Amino acid sequence: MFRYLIRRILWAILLFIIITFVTFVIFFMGPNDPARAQCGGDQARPACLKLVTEHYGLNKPLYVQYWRFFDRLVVHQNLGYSYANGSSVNQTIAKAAPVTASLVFGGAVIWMMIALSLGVYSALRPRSLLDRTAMVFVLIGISAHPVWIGLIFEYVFGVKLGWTPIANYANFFGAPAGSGLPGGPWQWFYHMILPWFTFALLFAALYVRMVRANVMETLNEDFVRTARAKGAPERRILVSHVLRNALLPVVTMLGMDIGVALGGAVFTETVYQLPGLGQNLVVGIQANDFATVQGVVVFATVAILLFNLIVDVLYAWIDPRIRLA
Amino acid sequence: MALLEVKDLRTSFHTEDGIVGAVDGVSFSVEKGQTLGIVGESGSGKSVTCLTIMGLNAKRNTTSSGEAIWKGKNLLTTKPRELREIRGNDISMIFQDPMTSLNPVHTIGKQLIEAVQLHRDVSNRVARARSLELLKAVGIPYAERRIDDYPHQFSGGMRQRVMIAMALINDPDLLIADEPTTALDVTTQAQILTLMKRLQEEFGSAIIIITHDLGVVAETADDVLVMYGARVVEHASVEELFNRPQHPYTWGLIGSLPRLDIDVERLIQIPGQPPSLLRPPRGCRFHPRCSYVMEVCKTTVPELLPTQREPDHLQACHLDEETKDREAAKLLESMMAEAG
Amino acid sequence: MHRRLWLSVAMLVAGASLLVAASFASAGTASHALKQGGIWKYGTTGASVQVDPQIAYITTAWWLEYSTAAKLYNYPDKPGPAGSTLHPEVASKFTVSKNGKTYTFTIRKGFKFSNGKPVTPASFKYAIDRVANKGLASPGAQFITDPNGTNIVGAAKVNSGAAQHVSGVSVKGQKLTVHLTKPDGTFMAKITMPFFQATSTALPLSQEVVTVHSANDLPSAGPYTYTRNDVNQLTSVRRNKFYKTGPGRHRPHNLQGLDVFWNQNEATLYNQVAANQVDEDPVPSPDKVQGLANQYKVNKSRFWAKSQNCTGYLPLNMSNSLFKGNLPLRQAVNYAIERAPYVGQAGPYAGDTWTHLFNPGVPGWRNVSLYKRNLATAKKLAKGHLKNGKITVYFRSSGTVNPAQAQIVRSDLQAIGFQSGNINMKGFSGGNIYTAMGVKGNDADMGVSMGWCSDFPDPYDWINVLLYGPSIQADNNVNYSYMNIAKWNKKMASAAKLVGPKRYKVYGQMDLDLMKQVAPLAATRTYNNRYFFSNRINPKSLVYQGIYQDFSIGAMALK
Repeated sequence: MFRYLIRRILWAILLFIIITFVTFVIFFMGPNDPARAQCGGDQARPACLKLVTEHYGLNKPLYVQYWRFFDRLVVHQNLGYSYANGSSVNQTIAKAAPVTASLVFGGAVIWMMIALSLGVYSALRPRSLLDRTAMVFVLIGISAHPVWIGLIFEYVFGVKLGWTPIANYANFFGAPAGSGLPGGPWQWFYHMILPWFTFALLFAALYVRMVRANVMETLNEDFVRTARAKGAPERRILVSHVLRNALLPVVTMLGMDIGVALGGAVFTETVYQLPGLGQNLVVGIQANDFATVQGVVVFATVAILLFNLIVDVLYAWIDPRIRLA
Repeated sequence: MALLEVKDLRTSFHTEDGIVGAVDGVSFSVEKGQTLGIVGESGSGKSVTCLTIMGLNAKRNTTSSGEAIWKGKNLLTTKPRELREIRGNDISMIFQDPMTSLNPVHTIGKQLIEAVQLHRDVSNRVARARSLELLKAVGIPYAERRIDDYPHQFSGGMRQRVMIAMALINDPDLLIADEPTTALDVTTQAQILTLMKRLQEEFGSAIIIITHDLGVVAETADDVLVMYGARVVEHASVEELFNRPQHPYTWGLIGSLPRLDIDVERLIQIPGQPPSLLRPPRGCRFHPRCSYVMEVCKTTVPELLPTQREPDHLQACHLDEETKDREAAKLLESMMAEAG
Repeated sequence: MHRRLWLSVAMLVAGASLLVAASFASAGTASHALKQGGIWKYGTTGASVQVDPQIAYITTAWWLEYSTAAKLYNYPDKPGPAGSTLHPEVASKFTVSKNGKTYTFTIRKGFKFSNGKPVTPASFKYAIDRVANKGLASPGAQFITDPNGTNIVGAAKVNSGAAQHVSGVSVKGQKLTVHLTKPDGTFMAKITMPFFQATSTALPLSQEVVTVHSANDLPSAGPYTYTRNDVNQLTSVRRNKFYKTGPGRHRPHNLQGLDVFWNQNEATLYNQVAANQVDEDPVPSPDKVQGLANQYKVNKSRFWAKSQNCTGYLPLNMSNSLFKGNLPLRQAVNYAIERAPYVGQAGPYAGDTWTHLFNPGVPGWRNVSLYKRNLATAKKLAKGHLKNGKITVYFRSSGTVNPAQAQIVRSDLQAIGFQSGNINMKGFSGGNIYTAMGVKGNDADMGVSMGWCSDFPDPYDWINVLLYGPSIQADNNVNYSYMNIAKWNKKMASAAKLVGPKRYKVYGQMDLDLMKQVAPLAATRTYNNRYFFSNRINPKSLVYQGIYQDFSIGAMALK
């Protein structure tokens, strides 16, 4: 287990270097001029461009810039300052990460709730009306784009019915001082309902099928027959014997998909105007703000690597066959 | 009075291709403390018979009829809830593949304790003590330590011992063992069978042992039921069956008995394939593979009738008894000769 | 399109004395009927802007700065010409030395920063020190260190890092004195830019202020002040509670404050304004505009369209072989472009078709149409002038409007004889097309969906900036046509020296002559800002400030 951890961490470091370098190269290959963002965009005047370029060292060779970035990150844990607005990228991410975490983890809870209830129920009653309805849900969830779903939700629940806010984020720990914005746990929850469901739909759909298949497969396992032969009631069989085994592969998938989901968060954040990592990424790209883009990429990479590691350890913990191997 | 009396048991599965009659009119009874062996090829209906009695067939697309009288109750019509109280308590079951029959994510201790607590309102400590007692009884070395191990940490034979311990933990009146040794190597098989015999004496349970191996039957059973194509073709005491087998299929089974003292190549195999239960052959279901086949066999189903010499010996074959006695004697003689 | 402003040089060339003569009689009277208080919620699809007064530069930033800044002289919160006249604000008056190189301002007492500290002459000296500071890298430095233009004594030295304080700026009592290296008629316009507002010493000299959590984090002396800045999330301005009416302090401040939500989604923002959860959407999507105009009328209640001082055009690269010395083909392009659908791509009220550089916001503009679409003429002109028949067109690939415009141009090029396979379209996202076209020697023959907005309302900013040959350099050019014709260069240089009505007349004619006789570009359109408001706002309070090209925040009020 220890050797395994060491190997995983070394891999993660290598992967991290590759990803950040590739981002660097991609960004500098394009005809981007980060200085332009700070000099008035379309009509930047030469004097300003020159000034800003030198200020950020944008005229240095790529490897020098990469080294500067890497050195600053590793030695000072500093992701630098936005080319577009001069703000500390560390701070930007510190503010954005909780928003994205709220979305992704809250969304994951909802998607697992939907996937488990629908998946298990339709596995227990295959071909029933509910099973077929779940299939329709799956099709919609997989085919519909989150932005489209988001706009529909906003319009129906926010504008027409007025049940929820249309968009925007409310801070869990209270509104920013002096802003007059909503804040606190309830407002946070209230503002996140639509984003959560929008975000969860695609994965809920995928997971309904997966949970259904796994549960059906596990129901046919010999040890389930053993449990029945012992005289265990169906409910106990489902909870104690079927689910734990059926959900093992789901946990692995969940670990991998959280990373993928982070990408999906970009759309949900955009449509609901949540100031999370995804939105900062999009804005950063539009503004040629490489420092912010790289900051988000670095953070997301580390978060995903870390998360996968946690899931691996968790998986070993719930599956004794791996733990003791 | 018999402990379990099964009358005209029928079970069919409704598949997309049609109806599969997996058990077709099986009757037998098990006496207290006795061992009944059910022999047959795969798909002959022997396992389904027992699963039907236990109510363990998938509910969906399955219909059963007939009776299985247990202590005055027909198990086939008993409510699921009551049936659950009988399962694992009065009647318990062990299965063919010990590798997959235990839940991989729970310790064996947890699974044994669950078996106790499903039927007895006792504390964890008491249940654990009982589990340990049984683990020792089935010969698990260092049981105190191993009780908290997971199934994958045990060998196949050890797991089957655990399964047996689990089956016996509530002192059942009847133990159904579905091919308990098939998945094990020969040495372990012998150990398990010895264990079962010993435990039967100790616990006094009746046993139904389901197997495709007449050798296992010979070692353990008092009575034998031979099944072919979802039907019973012969039913006799174990001595009677081996001394005067009355059905060509039984002859085939006896002829194919593997023995350590003869060359494997010379094993007599029954030619042909087991019958399709979706579209079974007309008449005697064994007739396409039978070397004694007559015209009547192709059209008329032979009834399960007692032999003239021994009324408890039932058989279903159109051959006359004289021919059958002669052929049986010939078979046994040749086997003796080879063995001798 | 980002707009950046640079203030009226020309006006000041006419003479500073005119400005001082203006009265304040009407100031502040309009606000009586308006509701006081309330928070105006403004959403935009744009990214966060900088709030540090010496760093803030793009239009939205200056729109906010206009509400927070107290400047020596300022433009009133009034629409039309009244809003373009300079009035004394913190300075009660100024004098210019005879040689024109020394400006002395008398600073009033009574202005206070939002942290309660008084505004002094040193507050303006500090602003100049910060603008010039090397480490801060203020975009304003170019306006006071220009060897050929405005140049404050010692500013260049500070900008090179050799000093901390600009030696040419001195403070004595309530007097602020600024020494220039040479006389400069544009100085007053430049010192009125938000870079040079009264700046608190609470701001670090060489470090940008980004995060704001209270009125003490970025103190300013105008009627409003920043109380919150979460980059790319929220920027809040609130009343400066130390701004009390008095001499020079007449600016309206009806709202309690304004919250700006950045990076909003176009469709979501529209929904929010429709549901009155947000008050202002400055970027309603083109497909919604007609519906809004039908429902609310234009400039009456909830839908407004206001013209911008911008012209859209297609630069024709005169340094590459295709258009080089090829006047007939350049004219042919002008005749071939179908301008109505080109503008129409941006939706209703986006602007009008236009065929020359000067839009109605540029002094000296003429209301003419030089090139009516005429394919026959275009074909005739183009015939025999297609060179090798190949053309490279840069276009903007972002969004839906730009690519659609590129398609229109492409089919117009086909109509005058270019084979479809010989038209090489190169797409650029965002503003990258400007960078690419700004590199001397690039392979573009023409660019699509490009435009220019006035930095300051003077024709110089159009003709001399966009078409003057000697200013062409290796990269970062804005002369995307790479026009460099000695005769015209000379004309431009001499026009720049003119003052008064003659200046506008000469430039106005030069605009038309250039378009007809050189055709270095094909002008396509003018631009409007379009706004969608909630029903919470009071339409009577909307004052379109011409210099800042947006509604004055101080004048705005809710119902």
